[in-house]
This record gives sequence, C-alpha cells and structure tokens, in this order.
Amino acid sequence: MEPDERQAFTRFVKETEPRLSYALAAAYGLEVGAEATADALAWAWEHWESLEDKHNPAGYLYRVGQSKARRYYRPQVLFPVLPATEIPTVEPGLTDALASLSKNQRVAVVLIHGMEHSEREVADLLGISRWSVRTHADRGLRRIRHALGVSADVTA
Amino acid sequence: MSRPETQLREYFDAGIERVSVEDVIARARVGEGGLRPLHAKRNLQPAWAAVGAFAATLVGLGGLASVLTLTPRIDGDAGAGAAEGVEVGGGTIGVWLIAAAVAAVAAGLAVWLVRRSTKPTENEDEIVSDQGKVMVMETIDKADTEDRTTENTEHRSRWPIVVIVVMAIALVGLIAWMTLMMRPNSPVAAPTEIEELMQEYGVAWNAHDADAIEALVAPQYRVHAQEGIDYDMEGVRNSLIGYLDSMNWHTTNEGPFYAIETGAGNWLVSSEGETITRSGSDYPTMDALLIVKGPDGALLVADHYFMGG
Repeated sequence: MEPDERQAFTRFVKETEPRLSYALAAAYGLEVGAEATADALAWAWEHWESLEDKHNPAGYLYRVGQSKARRYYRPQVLFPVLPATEIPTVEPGLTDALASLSKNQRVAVVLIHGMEHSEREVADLLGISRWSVRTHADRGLRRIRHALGVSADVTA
Repeated sequence: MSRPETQLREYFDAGIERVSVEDVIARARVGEGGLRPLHAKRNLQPAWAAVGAFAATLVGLGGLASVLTLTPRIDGDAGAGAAEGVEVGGGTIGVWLIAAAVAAVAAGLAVWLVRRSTKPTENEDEIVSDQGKVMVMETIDKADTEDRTTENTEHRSRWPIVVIVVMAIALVGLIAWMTLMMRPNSPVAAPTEIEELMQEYGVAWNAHDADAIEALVAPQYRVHAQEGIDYDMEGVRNSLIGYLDSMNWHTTNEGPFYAIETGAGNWLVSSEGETITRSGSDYPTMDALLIVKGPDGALLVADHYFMGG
C-alpha cells in the first residue's frame, strides 16, 4: 500500500472504528464484537482499493463485520458484568437489560443514546431508514429504563 | 443512579477493546500468513456434519448406482471371447439409508469429538501478542500440578482419535461392501472352454445326436422347458430327440452369450437366437445353461432351460 493510501486508511480507521466497534460490540457482545471489528478492519486493509470506492464504506464494513462475527462461537453471556471498580455507576441489571433487546435495538440505543451518534450515521451503518433507527433507539432505551426501574431522567 | 445513557457509555467505554490501525495491519498480515485464532472461531457443527454426511452418502451411492446401471451393455459375438453380465444389483434404498445413517452418526461423532478435544479449557487463555499472532497459553494454577496438566493433555489427545479411526475404518468397510453389493458382474471374457462347449453343444442339438449331447453334459443333466417339460438325459434320448427329428428342429442359438461366473468354477450362460422348425416358422428363443466343472475339470452342462422356444 502506498503511503498516501496508508494515510487515507489510517484516517478511515480513526473515523470509522469507534462507530464500528461499538456497533458490533452492541450487536454481538463485547468479545465477539471486538474480534469482528478487527476482522472487518483487516478486511478493509486487504481490500482498501475496492472499499474506497464504496458509497457507504462504514455500512459495508459493518456487514463484513456481521459476516465475520458469525464465524465465532456465540458466547453464553453477551455482556459480562464488569468489575464495579471500573464502572461504579453502572447498574448490575444493565447487562441483562441490554441482552434482552433485539440486535438492532442494542446497536441503535448504544450508538445514539450512549455514544451520541446521529440517526443518520446509525442508519447508514445499519442500512435501514432513520425512522427505523429512531424507533429502535427509543424502544430500546424505554426497555432499559423499565428494566432498571428508571421512570424519568435522573442526574447524569 | 446515573442516567441509562451515561451507564451505556461507561459500560461500553470500559468493556470494548478498541482496535488501532497497527492492530488492524498486524491482523491482516497474520491472516495472510494463514495464522488464525485457535479456539474462538466457530467450527463445523456436529449436526451439520451429520446432515452433510447423510446427504453425501445417499447422493454418492445413488450416483454410483445410477452410473453403474446406465453403463451401456457390451455385447460380444459368439466365439469372440466376449461375455458379460448384465445384472446390476444396486442395493435397495433401505440399505442406502442404513449406510447414510451410519455415515451421519460417524461424521457427527467425529466432529463432536474433535470439537470437544480442541475446545479451550477454563485454564486456557488466548493472548494476542504485539504482532497480532494468537497464542494459547495454559495457566497452571499450582506449581505442583504438572502431573495433572500432563494427564489432561493425554486424555484429550488419544481416545477421540482412536474412536475416529475405528469409525472411519468401519465406514470405509461399509462403503466398500456397499460398492461390492452394487457392482455389476463386470464384463469378463468367458473362458475358451465355455465358448467351445457352447458351440459343440449347439451343433449336437442341431444334429439331434443324443450321444454327442451326452458327452457334453453332467450326470445330473436335465432339460427344462415350458409346460412342465423336464427331461433327464434318458428322456432326451428316448423322447425328445425323436420329437425334434420329426419337427426338423434346429436352432441358431449361437450367441451372443452372457456368462456369469457363479463361483467354484461354475458358470451361468444365457444366449439368444432363433428356433426354426419344418413348418418354416421361426421365433426368438433364449436359453440358459448352468455349466459346472466335472470331476476331471472339464466343463459340462448341468441344466438347460429353454425359454420362448
């Protein structure tokens, strides 16, 4: 790969990797999501010339990541409870609540409400309409709130 | 309690393993080198292996049977030394299903055992080095557990292989048996003695010469035909030959011959031809002869079935 291309690829990874890694982690769990992200980006490195020309490379790469994720064992626990010392403010029930959502709901709620991405970005990534993304995100957040016993916004 | 949105961010920020450009390039190079994580990847499921083996066995046996059945018949003219078998067993669908089921069980078991023997234990961790190469390390909880570790390794590496080998041998044996069952009696050149016997036998019958016939038949010789006709050699001499004389009977039943060796040097030979009588009528006939090896090793006709004549 030429230096210019490498620079372009580096920029692409920096721009895309956060959205991609959070989306795939939300969809397939932390472990498989990380592997799928790395696999998808490795695929991007290997097929950079063709990926560059794609209309929606991030969305394309998300689908590559979905394919890669299927090659891994589905863990019994998608979202393990992390040590409270690392995340003292996270409720223990959050992981179960997340796991109970549909895949698209998880991705939408994590990216939109958790990471504050726009509906357009998420829609491009998932290949669905903005309205669908909004519906998934709202329903997902409502179910998480219900599971955590949160009826109204609390302090940040 | 913080907002769910904040909790989501904190949870994923803490839990996600981010991927850098260097990680990506390293992984891509590992992939080019053919190195892949050992345990995390999903392998062939036993159920799918069983289904695949079942289907492959059925298709394979069916295809083999079809090919063998559709093989064009090779006719050999009388005296050309050619003879052939035309019967193709092919087995039954029931036997095929048994074979397919055995193959399915064997494949499923084999895959299950392989998966079981290669699954990481609780003590195994995957470690990704800086170069992106994935290694498996086994953490030994106690320094004095060397014996246990060795024992575990041996336990996982031997008996599945033994079972797989046994199952594979059984499967190969079954397939070989199935193939043998379905194998047609491949075209083989009939011994020259059979050709000569058939020619001499035909000439003797056309000459209505009982002595010549008797010289070519076994002591238990019998002639069978429709409507309960059943003569031994004496019956042929005393009744049948006279009748054939009166009919001016003769046959062109000179081939082609179809010879199948039935074992112990015995042959079943059939032939096609025409029977012609004094009225001038002729009609197709078929003869089947059981030829046995006599005490001195010479081939003799033991049974003669007239069909259609």
